[in-house]
Amino acid sequence: MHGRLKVRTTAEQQELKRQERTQKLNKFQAGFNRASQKRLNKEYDKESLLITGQLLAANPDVSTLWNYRREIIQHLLDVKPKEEAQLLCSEEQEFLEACLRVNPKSYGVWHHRSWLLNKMPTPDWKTELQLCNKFLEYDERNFHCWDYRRFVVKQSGVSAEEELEFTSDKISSNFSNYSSWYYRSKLLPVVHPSPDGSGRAAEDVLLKEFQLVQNAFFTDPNDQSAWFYHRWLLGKGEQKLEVDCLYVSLDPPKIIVRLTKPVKVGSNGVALSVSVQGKQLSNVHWQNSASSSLYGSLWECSLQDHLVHGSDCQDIAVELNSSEHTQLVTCALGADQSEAKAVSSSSFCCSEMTAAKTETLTNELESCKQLEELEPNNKWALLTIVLLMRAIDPLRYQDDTSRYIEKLQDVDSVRRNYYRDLESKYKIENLLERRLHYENCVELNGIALTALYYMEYLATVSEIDFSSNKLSSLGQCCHLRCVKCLVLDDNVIVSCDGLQGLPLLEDLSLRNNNISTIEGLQPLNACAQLRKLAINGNPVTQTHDCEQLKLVIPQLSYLSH
Amino acid sequence: MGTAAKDVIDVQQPNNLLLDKHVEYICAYENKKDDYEYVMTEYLRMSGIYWCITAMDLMGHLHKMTAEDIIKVVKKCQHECGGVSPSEGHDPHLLYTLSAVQILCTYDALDVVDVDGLVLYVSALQQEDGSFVGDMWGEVDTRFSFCALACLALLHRLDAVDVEKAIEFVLSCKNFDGGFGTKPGSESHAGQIYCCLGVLAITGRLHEVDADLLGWWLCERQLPSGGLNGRPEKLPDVCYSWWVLSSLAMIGKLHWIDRVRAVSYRSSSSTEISTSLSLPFFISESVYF
Repeated sequence: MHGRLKVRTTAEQQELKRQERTQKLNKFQAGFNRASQKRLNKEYDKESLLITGQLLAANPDVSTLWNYRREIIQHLLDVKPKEEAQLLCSEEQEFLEACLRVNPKSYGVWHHRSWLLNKMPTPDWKTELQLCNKFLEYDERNFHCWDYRRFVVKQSGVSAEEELEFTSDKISSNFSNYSSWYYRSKLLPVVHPSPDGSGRAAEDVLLKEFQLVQNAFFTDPNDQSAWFYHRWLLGKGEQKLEVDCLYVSLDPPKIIVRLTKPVKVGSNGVALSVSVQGKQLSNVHWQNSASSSLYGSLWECSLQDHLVHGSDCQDIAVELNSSEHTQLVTCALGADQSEAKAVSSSSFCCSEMTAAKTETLTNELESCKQLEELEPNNKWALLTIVLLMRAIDPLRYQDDTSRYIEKLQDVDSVRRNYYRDLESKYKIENLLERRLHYENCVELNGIALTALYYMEYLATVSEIDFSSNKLSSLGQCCHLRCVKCLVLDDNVIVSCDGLQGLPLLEDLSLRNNNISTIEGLQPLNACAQLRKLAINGNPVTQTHDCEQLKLVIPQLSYLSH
Repeated sequence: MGTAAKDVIDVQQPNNLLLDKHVEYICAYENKKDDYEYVMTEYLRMSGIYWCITAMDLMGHLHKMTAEDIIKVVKKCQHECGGVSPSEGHDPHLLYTLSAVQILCTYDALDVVDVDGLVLYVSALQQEDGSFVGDMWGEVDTRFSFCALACLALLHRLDAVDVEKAIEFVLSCKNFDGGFGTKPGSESHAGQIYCCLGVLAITGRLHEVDADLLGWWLCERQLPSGGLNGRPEKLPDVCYSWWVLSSLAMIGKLHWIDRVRAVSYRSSSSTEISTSLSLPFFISESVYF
């Protein structure tokens, strides 16, 4: 439908073309007008079928004509005896197949066919399946045809096993198999469901798929579809909703709850209830760290008037109640303690792997490295090696991972920003895997971070240093609910957006960044505890003096300019 | 051995956006009522008008279009059932109902149509599973979920449908690659992804998307020529740039595309865009560059 290069013709040829088109145009308009007239007169006869047929064969996207044609057919089906009705439908099927040969990707034609099959007295679904086979031979990527096939399969009860067989045949005989691999990803969990009820496919079956997909990318290392499918095989299942961390502090008295995925807390969402010393609190107001959304994985509430100083041990319990999951987490604040936390013991990155899986993935890694030797600049092999290393043992392979990602930025330079963010994500994952986020102080400096991931996991940290990186945005810093001292020197930050409302932030360093406007500093106005700020080496210091800046952030006692 | 990568061949690349020529082209389109393409695209005229005026608006030349005539056309195309047709003499459909609302919002002229009628028409198209059909003939497609919610959002009438169910249906179309298709079980496609992300953006549910996985799939649409395709192993096209870039923008991963190469591809396409259907997409993408 979209134009390609227009070839320049001579004036003569242009005139001829113009005349041809005018003829076509007039013919179309005359036909359309005649059809419209007949429709107004509620004429549902042979002539109507003929006219609409001629028009639609050449212009299958004019849905109004399909609508009229359906009215005609419906009328004829209502008045004709069964045999004639069936014949009419068969003829319509032939007509549609002819349309498809010319326009195999017209929404209108495929939809009309499914409408027709639902109306037919005795539909022959086998023929329909064969039609799909034929058109998938012509173009394996025709999603209209695949969608129609799924309609036929559903209506006629073809089994998922048979369809899985079909994808196997397609994959073994063709290139350009994205659609088949995709279909497979839907069929596997149906034919071989995992016994844990997760909705994923059973593990032993997934492990066999690695063999299949490996054959595909060794046959053709540039066949993207196999590599995409491989990435899916490596992926984890849906995250289960659980409490990951319960944190309690005395000054100020509050609780922070971190969940494994974003939810809405309160009416229409999940319930989080709090008990102190066994007594459930009413009127608890939960606040989401991501203030611009109703959903979040980090929730906070005040315990003002409920926690006391100089007390004996105080027990705090939080109960999560959702349709998915119920969980009780407890935490004890000792007599001399000002804060306490209860944290999940599970590993951040690594789900427990069976020996079979570890073996399979290790073999995969070997194979991909062999492929790398044959094709050192094949970005798919390089990326898959990275993904495998992350899946097998992220910390063991961390240096290798960095090397490969650097190579990817070179070999696949169009996507270098993706690889840089990916590297940043991995670096933060490694930190979390080492459980360093449970310390009071976290340092991630000089490692070329371009993006901040998992900031909810740093919610309980009081001192954070992200200096000497490539950070441009602080949007994710809204989750740093306990940070008192934040160092962001030597980055490429333009705005403090994300820092507003950080309740405990006292000391902020932003030396040598790219803040060039007063607006860039405005969010700091909403950091009530902020007393110390360093902004030397930002363009804004060239245009604004200390006095002007202090007007924006009046709560400061010390400004380094 | 191996499949040849599908991409366009490098031609000499002029490096500027020929703004005046584009303005000229779109203005002329409005007056070509006997033109072959004009007539043959009657079945999507309402959308064509929307794309043209948006493009003109982005270029700062909206005043060159005749607002009065356009608004009159829109008004004439609203049917008794409340829905809007692409042109006179055609049946109403959700696609053109959205385009009509978009046009009227651009001109701040919603009062010329029966807004309650529009709302009734759209809300009646929602199915039990939360999906939307395009019209009374029953085609289900996530494009229509987007059309319905975008339409109602613009009219401030999202209350008229079951938003939760609409979201549930869209999420049921999520695939192994993080993308979305036309229906549950359909392959990911940039256009459908745009529509589904649009629904999730409007309803504040973008966190349900795996932004890293989908963002990766989307940035893999960029080919060595700099152009973008709509799904793996397909040729690039300017309209796909719009679906892909908008999708990336919605999930905050626009920087995963190589801007310089994308701009270069655009400039090389600038003089060759030969249909009015591609040109407005081409202009609209300029917001990202």
